[in-house]
Amino acid sequence: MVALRLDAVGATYGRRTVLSNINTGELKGGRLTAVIGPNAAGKSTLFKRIAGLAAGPGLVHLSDTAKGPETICYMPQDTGANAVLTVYESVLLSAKQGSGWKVKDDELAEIDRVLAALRIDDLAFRGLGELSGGQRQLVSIAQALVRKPEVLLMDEPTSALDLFRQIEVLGFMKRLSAQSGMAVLIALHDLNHALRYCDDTIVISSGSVAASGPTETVITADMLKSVYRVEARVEACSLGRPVIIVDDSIPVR
Amino acid sequence: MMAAVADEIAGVEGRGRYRALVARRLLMLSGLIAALFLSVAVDMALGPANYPLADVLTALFNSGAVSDQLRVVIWDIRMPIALMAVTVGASLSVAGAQMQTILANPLASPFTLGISAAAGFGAALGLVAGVAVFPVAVQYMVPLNAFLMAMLAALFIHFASTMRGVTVETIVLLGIALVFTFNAALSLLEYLASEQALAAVVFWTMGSLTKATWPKVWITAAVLAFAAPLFARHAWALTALRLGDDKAASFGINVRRLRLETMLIVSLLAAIPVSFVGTVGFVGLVGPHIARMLVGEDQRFFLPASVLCGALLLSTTSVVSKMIIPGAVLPIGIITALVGVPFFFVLIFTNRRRAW
Repeated sequence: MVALRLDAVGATYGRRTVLSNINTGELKGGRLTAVIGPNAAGKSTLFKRIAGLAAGPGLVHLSDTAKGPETICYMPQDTGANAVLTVYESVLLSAKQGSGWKVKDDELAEIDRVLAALRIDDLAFRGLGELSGGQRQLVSIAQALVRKPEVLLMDEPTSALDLFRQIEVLGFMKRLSAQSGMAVLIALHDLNHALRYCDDTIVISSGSVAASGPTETVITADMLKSVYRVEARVEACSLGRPVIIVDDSIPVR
Repeated sequence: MMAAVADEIAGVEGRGRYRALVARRLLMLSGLIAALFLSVAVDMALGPANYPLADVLTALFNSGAVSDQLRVVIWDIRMPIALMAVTVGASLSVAGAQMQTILANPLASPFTLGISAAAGFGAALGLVAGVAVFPVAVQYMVPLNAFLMAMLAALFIHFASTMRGVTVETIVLLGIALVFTFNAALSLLEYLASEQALAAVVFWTMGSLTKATWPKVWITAAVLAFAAPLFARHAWALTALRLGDDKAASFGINVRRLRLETMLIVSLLAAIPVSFVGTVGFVGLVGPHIARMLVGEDQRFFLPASVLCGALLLSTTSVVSKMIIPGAVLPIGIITALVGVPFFFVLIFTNRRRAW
């Protein structure tokens, strides 16, 4: 099974250093890892750096069993495409990069499977421009999944989704990673989702790692206070699961 | 990988619908080819002497069976002009299509980036001041001037776009700045020109296919034949560019390199036809839009459709330019928009799908 490890990874845009000295333990396949942190902390940049789309020092180690660096797939935040393409074509486009013009039946079958799994097969022949933000986000996930990555970096995949779809997508990713052995890193803003679905959590703050480890040990009242500047409690609900109860924000001095 | 999870939910077969979509598009392309063939044949039948279509077809496919006079008229006089319409229309349309693709801007065309304006200025420099940008025989001075200025503008844009911090929006703005600069310079030359030279410049900037010769047809066709396979090789990547830079990069595409390569080829495609036939507007802008409305933006269909739409647009324009005043051939640059706009409007207002 694939494993990913970051060793003193940094990222720079021109002369500006956005990330520095990011170290992680083994991020193993079959597990969901939440990447959390305030806005502009460097979460997207970290993903781009891991996927080789941003420059910087340090090493991204992939286990020997991995197919190669191209097995890492970065799913960017939705950018609102206005291309005159159907959903089906846009997913095919992702699957066919770097290969010839001819489209085989099994390639189309795979697209059918992914669209059905995400329950967007009814949108298949709609134009991208006709979709809502949430629908586009689901299409984006489909585009990532047809590339069959071993490491998937999802940049806020649930930000435009309604509550039902958020839960559906996160649950689906958890089952998928467990079954396929894919390592999934998800940038999230909803920390209760991280507590519920993610095995591990990495907290990024001002371009470096503020905390990392099993989610329940990382998302604590102290971390919320120091990183997010909120007064909050992490308590067990009636089912015994930890939930965050926010009391107040800490005023900026 | 997905099978186990997907089995939970029964999916509707998209495969069949996709194959049907592809078949429809191939039919559309075949229709365009047929229409283009018809238009070229009609174009060759019309002129100072009108021939029946049957005679034209005989002269084309069995030239021994027709009179020498008809053979000469069709093969040596009318065919270069008719085919020039095809190659120029196709080149400008493909150039526009790829400019719109790489700049993510529906208004991009050889005009937007100042390539046509630069060519016009180069031509005027020769016609008015007798200045050769590159010293050659005098009969090639005007097209060569036009070509060199067009390439200069294109290379300026190209190198500007390699600079750090230059975005797609900046490139479009730079192009518009070039348009104004060259148009101002052209106006200055026109103001200073003699009456005779002024008439020549005005005629040149209107664009005319009557300057077509076989060598010019071959050169334009060769550039198109060189460019099309290069674009075709990047068909999936170019299509992905329309999903945004971040998304395209996440598909493993080197966005910067693809954009630069495409820009270089596009410059050549746009500069050559303009230097031979003068300013032919509209085709480079609208050809790709018509193609997009007909077959969408999958470049496997969009690229050939752009070629065919541009060629068809300019070929029908050539037909119309001979029909408005019997016996006279109006400059094609004047007619292009008049022919294209009504068709374009019909497409915009009847197309249910978004076109950009």
